[in-house]
Amino acid sequence: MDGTTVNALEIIRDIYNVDQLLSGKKYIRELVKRLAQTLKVKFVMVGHAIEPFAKSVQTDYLFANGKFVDNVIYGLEGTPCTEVLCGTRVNCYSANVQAQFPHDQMLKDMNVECYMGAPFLHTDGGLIGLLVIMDDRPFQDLDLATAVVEFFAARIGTEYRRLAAEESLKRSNVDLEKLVETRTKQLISQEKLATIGRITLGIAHELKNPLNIIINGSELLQESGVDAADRRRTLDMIRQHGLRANDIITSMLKQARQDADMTPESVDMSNLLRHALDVFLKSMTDLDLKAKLTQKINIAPQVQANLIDVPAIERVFINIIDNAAYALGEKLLKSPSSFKPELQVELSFQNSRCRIRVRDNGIGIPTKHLTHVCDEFYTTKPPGEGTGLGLWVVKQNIEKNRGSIKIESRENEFTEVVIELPAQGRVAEVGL
Amino acid sequence: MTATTPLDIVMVDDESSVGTLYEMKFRKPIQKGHIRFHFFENAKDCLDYLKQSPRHHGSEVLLTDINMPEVSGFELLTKVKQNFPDINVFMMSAYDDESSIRKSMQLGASGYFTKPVNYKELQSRIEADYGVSLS
Repeated sequence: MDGTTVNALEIIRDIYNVDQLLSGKKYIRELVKRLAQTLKVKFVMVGHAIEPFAKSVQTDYLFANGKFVDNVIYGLEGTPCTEVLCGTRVNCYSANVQAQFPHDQMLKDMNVECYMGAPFLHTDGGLIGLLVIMDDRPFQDLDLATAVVEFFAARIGTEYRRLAAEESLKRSNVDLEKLVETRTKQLISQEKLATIGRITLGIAHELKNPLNIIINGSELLQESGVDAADRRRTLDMIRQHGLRANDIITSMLKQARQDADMTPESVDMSNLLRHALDVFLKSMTDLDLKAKLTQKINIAPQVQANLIDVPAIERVFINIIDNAAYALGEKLLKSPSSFKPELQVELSFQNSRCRIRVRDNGIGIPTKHLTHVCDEFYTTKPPGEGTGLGLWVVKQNIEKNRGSIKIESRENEFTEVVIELPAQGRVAEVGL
Repeated sequence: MTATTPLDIVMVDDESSVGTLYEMKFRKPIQKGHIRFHFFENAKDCLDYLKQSPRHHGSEVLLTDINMPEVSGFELLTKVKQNFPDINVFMMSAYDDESSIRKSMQLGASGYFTKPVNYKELQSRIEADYGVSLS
């Protein structure tokens, strides 16, 4: 090995052993500084070509006269950098560089005498940027400088590629998070639609009853020989049931409406809970359970509450009662002859809060699941039967309405859900 | 059934307007003595009535809603078929799903009318089954 090689190796080892804890931009910065110090040159620059045409370079690290200075953008035309960027290895102007590039103002301004640059490339050979060293005196040891510059250009290139990969990973993570957020929103909306579907089923059934009266009543009116009293009575019934059908549709539209306008609304909780229970019973598809179900309903009348999103709370009730029915149905499947399914629904008022208690004696929730049941995407149902969002949405909706939810359960014995919401009291008490 | 025994139409629906409506629909056959109409708003009252009223074999028909509080139409159907097997039972329900219809038939219903009930269908079915005029 000749002296240059030994020297180059020592220098490379010295610079390369930059604090191993440094990485990325800090690492390159330290390399740049050490290059200037070790090779005793006034200027070291690392920059990247600005795409798409690579007609100019943006410096990322510019070390001049012993310190880092502000980065610059410069045009490549008429500069030695153009030559560097066209090649793949070191390009050197060991003396009198200004004379060879008379239009390069920067060389003049910096009073540069010698110039050495090496490009660094993508793995596919595409250009990333360049490392340049310059001085106002000719290079002392050209071979040494060439070896060192070539080596570190490659090392800096690796670091640039790593940074780009990290950046792209970060971007994909952000994209992924956005995607998850969008999908979650879609699922929540699906969950809402599923509940609305249940409500619609109950309501559609409810709608057929007034239609039955309206259609059969109007047919009666078409017949001859109906006396005046019957005619009046029928017309009156048709009108009443028409209005009822309208009320039903109105409540259906309220549910379908996207996000309520969020103004607090005073509502009769007793009616709301009773209506939810009614909708649930009417849309119940497990007829075996329906036939065997004992209901213990104790709804205090006329409890007034101030709710922000009334349809959401009605969906909460239906969801909770639905879950109870699921737990009862599952237990009934296991022991169809001996099990006596029981559903308790209670509404009470105390200390400015109304308390809704729904209890079933179904399959219950194992202790290990109990603390997670309100978590996003947590489900114990078989695939395809639940999104794992039901109780999470329930909790969100309750909290939106300034309420709380508590769930107690013992496996194979019972589940009890207690919801508390701010209330004003009974109608008589609040003097409405 | 003899000409002197009117057909007893027993109807159960938790919606009282249904009773009022059919009372008017059946006004003429009632006046003519072809039928007697008994309406109940719940299954329990209907069962009480059936227990205490004398049986007129083959001249009684029960039309019942399914979705009713406390005792459902299915339970009423089951009880009637157990205790009064001669009474034919027709369901009148807003449920139009196959499982409700199949369950009714399994429990012994003679027919199923979905709401809104097609009165002409109901009329011709009863007229055909009982040889009575409802007009």
